[in-house]
Amino acid sequence: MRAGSGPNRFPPLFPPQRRACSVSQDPFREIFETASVRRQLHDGEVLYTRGEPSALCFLVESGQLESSLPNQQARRYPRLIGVGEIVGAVDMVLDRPYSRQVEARDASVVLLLPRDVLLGQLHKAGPLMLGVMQSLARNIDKLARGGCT
Amino acid sequence: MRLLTLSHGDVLIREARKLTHFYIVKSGSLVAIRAERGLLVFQRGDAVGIETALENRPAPFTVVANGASEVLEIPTAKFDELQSQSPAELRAMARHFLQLSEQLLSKPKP
Repeated sequence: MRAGSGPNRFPPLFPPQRRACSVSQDPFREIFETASVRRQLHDGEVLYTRGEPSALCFLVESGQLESSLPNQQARRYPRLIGVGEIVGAVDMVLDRPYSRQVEARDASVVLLLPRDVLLGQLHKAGPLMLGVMQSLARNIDKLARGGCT
Repeated sequence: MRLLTLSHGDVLIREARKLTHFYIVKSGSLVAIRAERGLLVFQRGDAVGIETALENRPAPFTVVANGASEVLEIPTAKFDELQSQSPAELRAMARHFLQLSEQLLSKPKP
């Protein structure tokens, strides 16, 4: 499902009246398109492998990706990543190499966000923001691996 | 913000309740439990209940202290304010993480 469209199971993080500056319905798209860096992938092409430095995170613009772990170590993998979803962000925020392998399941296009941009803004936002985002990323990682670790 | 001191077994968050605060673990550890199964362990530096608080949803689990613990209680409004001053990238990232957490928490364990 494309972020910002379709059935919205989640209320917006910020109520509209509290948005001081203009924020699009799909902020990732705006951000990534500003950067104007895209990568096209053919079916089966590997986007990144486990252990590579997490230099970028990716928004799926079209097609579909599959995230997997060697020998399916985690209970909730492989996981399919569709249009409007991002991959690589959890590893990036946890400041570690990619923990999964991601490859295209169809001909796909992804938009790129460099690590330096994202982490620079995270540090600039202060310790509470940084700590909370890292904590959320850790929780996601634990839950994806089956929880309670 | 205020510091809360918890004893073993104290309930910090009760399943199905809504929250106006979230918590950062200062010391000790806490466990998120649902249907009598441990889902997550929270330790120093971990944020507890933030998904629930920010999304204004009922808590998907109960959180209890696993031994003597201390947590910092932070009003959700404070974090909202902080985020509203943050660049779009961070707001989008926070939203993505919250949605991903929700998806993972909503899946039953195999």
